[in-house]
Amino acid sequence: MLNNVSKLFAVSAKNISGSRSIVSKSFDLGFLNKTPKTQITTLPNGIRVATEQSFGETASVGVWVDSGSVYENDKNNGVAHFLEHMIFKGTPTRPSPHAIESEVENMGGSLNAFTSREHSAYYMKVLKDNVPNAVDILSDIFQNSKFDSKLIEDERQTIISENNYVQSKEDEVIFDQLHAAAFQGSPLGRTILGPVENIKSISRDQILEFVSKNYTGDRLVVSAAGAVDHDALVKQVAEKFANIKAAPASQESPRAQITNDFVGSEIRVRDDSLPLVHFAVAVKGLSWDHPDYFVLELIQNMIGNWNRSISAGKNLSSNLGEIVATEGLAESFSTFFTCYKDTGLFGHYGVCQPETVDDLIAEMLKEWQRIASSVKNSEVERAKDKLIATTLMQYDGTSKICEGIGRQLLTLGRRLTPSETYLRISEITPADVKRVATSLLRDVSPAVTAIGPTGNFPEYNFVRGWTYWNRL
Amino acid sequence: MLSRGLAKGIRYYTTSTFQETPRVVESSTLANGLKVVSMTGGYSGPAVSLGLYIKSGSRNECHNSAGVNQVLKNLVFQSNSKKLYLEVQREIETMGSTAFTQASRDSLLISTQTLPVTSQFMLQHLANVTKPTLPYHEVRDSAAVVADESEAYNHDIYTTLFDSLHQAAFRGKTLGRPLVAPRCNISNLTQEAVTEFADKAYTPSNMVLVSVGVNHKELVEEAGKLDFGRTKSSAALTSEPAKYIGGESIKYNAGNSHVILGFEGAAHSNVRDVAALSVLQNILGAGCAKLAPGNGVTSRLNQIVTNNPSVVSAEAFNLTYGDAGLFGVYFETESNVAKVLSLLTSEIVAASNVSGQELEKAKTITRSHIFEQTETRSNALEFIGKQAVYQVENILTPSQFAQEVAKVTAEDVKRVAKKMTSSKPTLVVSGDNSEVPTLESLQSALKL
Repeated sequence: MLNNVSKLFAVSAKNISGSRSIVSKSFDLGFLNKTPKTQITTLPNGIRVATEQSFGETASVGVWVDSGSVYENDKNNGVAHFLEHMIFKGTPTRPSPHAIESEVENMGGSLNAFTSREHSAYYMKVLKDNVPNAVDILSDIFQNSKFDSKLIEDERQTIISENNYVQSKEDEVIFDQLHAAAFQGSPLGRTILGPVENIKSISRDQILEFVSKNYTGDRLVVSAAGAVDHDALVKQVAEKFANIKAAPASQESPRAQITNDFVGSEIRVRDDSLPLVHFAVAVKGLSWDHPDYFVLELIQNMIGNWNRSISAGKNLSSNLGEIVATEGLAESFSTFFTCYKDTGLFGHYGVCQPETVDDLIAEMLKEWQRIASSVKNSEVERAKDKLIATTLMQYDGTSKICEGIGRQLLTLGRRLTPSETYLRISEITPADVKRVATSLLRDVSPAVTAIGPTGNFPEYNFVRGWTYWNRL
Repeated sequence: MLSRGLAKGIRYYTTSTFQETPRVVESSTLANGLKVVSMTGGYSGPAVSLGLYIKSGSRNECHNSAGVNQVLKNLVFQSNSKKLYLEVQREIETMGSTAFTQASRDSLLISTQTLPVTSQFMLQHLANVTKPTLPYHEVRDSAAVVADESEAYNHDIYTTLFDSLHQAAFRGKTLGRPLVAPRCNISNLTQEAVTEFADKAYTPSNMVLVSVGVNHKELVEEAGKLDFGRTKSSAALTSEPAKYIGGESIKYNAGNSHVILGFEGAAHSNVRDVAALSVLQNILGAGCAKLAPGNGVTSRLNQIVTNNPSVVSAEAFNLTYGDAGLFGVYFETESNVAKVLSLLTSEIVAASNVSGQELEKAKTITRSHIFEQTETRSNALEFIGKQAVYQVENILTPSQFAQEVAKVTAEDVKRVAKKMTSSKPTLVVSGDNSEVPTLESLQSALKL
């Protein structure tokens, strides 16, 4: 804690609308470096091993794979996710799902996985002495899974019920529809689970082919955080993952070209039996490694989120939130910024009464234009302080850190340090905000999706028209 | 705005200065009675957690004031004698704080996170929020929000069931008072009622200031300069020790049956019994259709779920308070409440006799959970804060508590199981209530 700064803070606190920044008044930013260093080693077969050793009693260790549904085609769409289910079902030395489960639970650990459009991740959390066992299990399921045909048949029903569950969630449906509309004709437009016909037909051969094409050394990152020793882990990964090939034999590009990275379009599914309208309005965002990544994230934070239960009520700093709260325009809204390797999505997800949906969307797009044309310096400074703090707060617990390392190595090829994060956000100027908002959010054809009682949902050309102001 | 010079300056910070240090808990009491507890060491990231516990909750309410604590929870980040509602909200939001408040049966927690450079500013805010002005319109609006919250909770079977469990176990007194504000009492939650409760609750000696990642000496020094609490002296809140009685609450409800079988557990300060009961909890574990390894896939309760398709889920719990505790199992079933209860009682009997490898596994899982749960700043804050609220003499670090777990023997598990089943159980059923066994028959099936 700092001494002698209370007076300064008191001054800035009185001047809430002023442009003084709280964080930047600090004298000592040394805390940014009290973070374990990231050690990265690349093995001969291309696997990158990255660790942040923070000691303690537990460790998170995981394998992050540059592979998800974008690496599929129409015929095998869903195989990446199916594979994620099947990889836990047994190897020659751990012959059944139960063998893996009891080994993990006997050591008090946990094991889980997820598949997204561009990534698959398999991660474990264990007590510090069990890190070698965790690496052994992960390497075994990666290289020696049996993919037993009978178990594949059994798993179809589980995945179909997972699909039914996803189909019953309005937000999941909206985002799947949004990808289908915005990225039509490209692999990003497909769903992660795949169509039911594929879930019913995906074969053992298709799974094996997908693994051999995609689970190669150049696309794997083994990341770990907590009670891990980098050198010991490197040695063990080199030994245990030795059978992973460096790259597939074929020279063809592993993922289909994103032919059309964004299409202004609309999908609406009218269902008057639902009480509320769920919708998304999105434009093309930025890729993971774009230099303006943090500027757009700042804009996302500035526009903000709101729902009925937040404690700030009508007093939150989000201008849009204040309007929505005072006018009673929505049950909730959020601002999302989803990144991919070569494109991204930026927009709003909203849930509202059918009669307010037109006003709500108009206010949302009006806010985009306000930010692009006349954002206040004070807003930008306040949002920067907030974004610096919330981003640095992500370094919390080994699971989040391990995931951050894995994701950043796959998307950026390196790890963002707290200092870099701090620096890049604090250097953003109001002019940057206006520039990025103008180029991405003004006079564009958005992708729009909606489900529910959409009778009062504005026609596409209205929404399109709200993305510019003639008076500017 | 940040000067370019400073921005350039930090480019030179390229090397990590992180060093391994053990986690240490320190506590002090200030002249005004405010207890200050902090945990430092280990790695807690580039941010710090600051929190404040007010040591009163629904157990300190009376018949007419049921729900007052919940109204106060919603008023925490509203107007106080130093700042207006709008200022409080925006300044805390700017510090990037993921601030939240949580009203419990015996405490109100205000938990915040911030960067080290703004921690002193956040500390001032925490002192300020202990002086709410409670204007008429804020109390009125907050009571309306509470009405909505209660409505939502009434539809949440888990919350309702656990509220019924406490009401039956403590027979409506102390920990058995309703946690969720009863809708029928909202009209009594007036400005006067809220002010009266706050005057008694918001005193420095009824509070604990907790931090993770802040130097204890500096925290004590800074907190000493600030003024906590509404009034200098005031009548204390009514409080009596919790007494477990046991009983039942059986209601018809359509659809699946939700059931809790509960027993008298251990008070938080009884570390030895709490550790043994945590091990027993993990011997029983949890079960439902889709579980990833690490959540109880190989546990006894998951065996019940796997072998009986009508059982949707089951989960053992171990709740601890300052002067009492509740242990038990919650389950959801499509049919056959009586049969599932009889499976459960025999499983509890079997679990209390566990030894060897299964015991070691449950101990490892318990230790692992302790470390995992306290890895994040806000959970670590609650781990030490709770102990301070419950007046535990020596506040344990996660490692120290894990050592207590490592000491648990088969005899300990047997002993706590026997102790808890010797008192009258508490049974809560919401669903098919036509074939519910009597408490006596349940108790006789639990002879250990």
